[in-house]
Amino acid sequence: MTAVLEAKGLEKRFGSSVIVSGVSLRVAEGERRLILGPNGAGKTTLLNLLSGDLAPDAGDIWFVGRRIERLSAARRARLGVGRTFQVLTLFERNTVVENVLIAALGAHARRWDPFTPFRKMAQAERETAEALRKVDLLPLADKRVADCAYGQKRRLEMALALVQSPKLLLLDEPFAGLSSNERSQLLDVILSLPAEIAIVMIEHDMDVALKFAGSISVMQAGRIVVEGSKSEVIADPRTREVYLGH
Amino acid sequence: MIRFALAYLVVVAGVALGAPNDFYLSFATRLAYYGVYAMSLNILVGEAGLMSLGHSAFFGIAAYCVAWLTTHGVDGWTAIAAALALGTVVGMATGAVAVRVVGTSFMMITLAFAQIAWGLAYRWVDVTGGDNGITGITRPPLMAFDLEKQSHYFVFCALALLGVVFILDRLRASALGASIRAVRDQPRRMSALGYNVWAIRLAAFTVASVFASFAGALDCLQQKFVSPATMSLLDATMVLLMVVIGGTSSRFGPLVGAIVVLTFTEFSGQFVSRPRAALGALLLFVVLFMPGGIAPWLERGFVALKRSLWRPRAGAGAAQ
Repeated sequence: MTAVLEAKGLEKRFGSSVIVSGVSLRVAEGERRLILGPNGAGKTTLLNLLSGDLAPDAGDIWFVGRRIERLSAARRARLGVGRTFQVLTLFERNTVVENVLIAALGAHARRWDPFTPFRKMAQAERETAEALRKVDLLPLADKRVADCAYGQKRRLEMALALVQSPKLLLLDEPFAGLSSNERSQLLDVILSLPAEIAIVMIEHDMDVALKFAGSISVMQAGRIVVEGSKSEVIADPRTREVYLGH
Repeated sequence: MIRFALAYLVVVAGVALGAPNDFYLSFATRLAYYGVYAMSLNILVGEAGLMSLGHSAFFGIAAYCVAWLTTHGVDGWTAIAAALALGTVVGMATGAVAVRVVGTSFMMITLAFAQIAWGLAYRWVDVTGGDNGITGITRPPLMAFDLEKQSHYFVFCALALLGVVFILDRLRASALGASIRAVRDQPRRMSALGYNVWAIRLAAFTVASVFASFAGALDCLQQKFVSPATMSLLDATMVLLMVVIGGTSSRFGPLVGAIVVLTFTEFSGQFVSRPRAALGALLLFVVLFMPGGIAPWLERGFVALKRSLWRPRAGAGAAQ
């Protein structure tokens, strides 16, 4: 299958600490890749390198055949790299629909329009309604985000990424802090995403993560130590070693 | 917002019409263009979350531009257009550097820029007249209106304020306006959504500098004089006071702030021996007891008043 994302020899240091070291990753179109690892393994740093939030000290990243490691996060987003954050980063003072509209306009040239009321941009409005329907938040469209429940905010995070029709979606612990009911709601949303979107997800909750994963990379101390299909990685004794230390 | 601007103009016009002499008319004119000045700063402080200490530089540069050109034979309207163009170019150039950082660093860069502009005005005597400034500025005619008459110039400034309120209202509701506020709240998220955070902040900075330049041009034609004091740190903090006292989160906060601060500075001297100390006390009072500024407090009071006036009387339904 065609690779949507290919990273080779990625390295990131903060001072003398090596956080990501020699990581190579290939994600095919439509692949569901889970990244596992204990705290401090470098998972979020790796995701930040892929999204452009951090620049790598070494290594290169290819996205649909284009080299992107020197591109800003904004340029990568416009190329089709979407992401969610571990800590909610929503526009709390705005309504649900306004949040998604702002996200939808990020991919439009009309984001620079200084005169047309942004709530009346028809194209973006359609995309917004569609994204809200996907995450089951359409009935709450006019609710202020600050007044929404945590689980609703998590789904809104997803809508913000989805409205831009990404080719690659990077999910950083999307289930963090959710109740079991909310988790299964969000899992349904993720499982129903279009098959052509490649997804790379970091998650600690094994129950939901394994339902999602097609392939898994296990990280430890900044390196990928095990990689393969779900069954291969689960069966690999090194996975247990990374998690249980024996 | 337009309704509020009209109400603001009624207040300003009230001051002007009740004027026993040109002093009050001049004061009302200043209220109008200082409203523009304060609103321009609030694009940075309230909308973009960038606390600038150098906004007076654009006000002053435009004032000098109009003063120099009109005293060298250039038509007044061309001079205003040139001042706006200069404000745009200087705003973009300085903003390109300043908006690379936020918080205290941004404040220091804008302060440094304003001090450079002030120093140039003070030292470049051949062009700026140094400490003596530039005098002999005349107002251009506008069709049948003679703007040299204070009443005509007041009407012109009042209409200019209305125009600026309209434009800024449109900007606020637009995609760009929403992006500016979103970058203030979640810059990292905005990058992840494909927005160039630096470019959006630069757009806000440039728009703010253009409207500050417009206010500076109007000030120059009102005062018919310009000196380095126009862009002193004191003037920069004065307009910042207007925004903070009025309320940065409110659309009409800067207008309220302009009225309060200008009225206070103009008339408090008649009642207190230390007007600036009194202004400091006013700021303290607002910060401690009206943390969001006067405008949101007025808004809440207005809503409560409206509710109490329109509430159906108890038992009215039962009586029918």
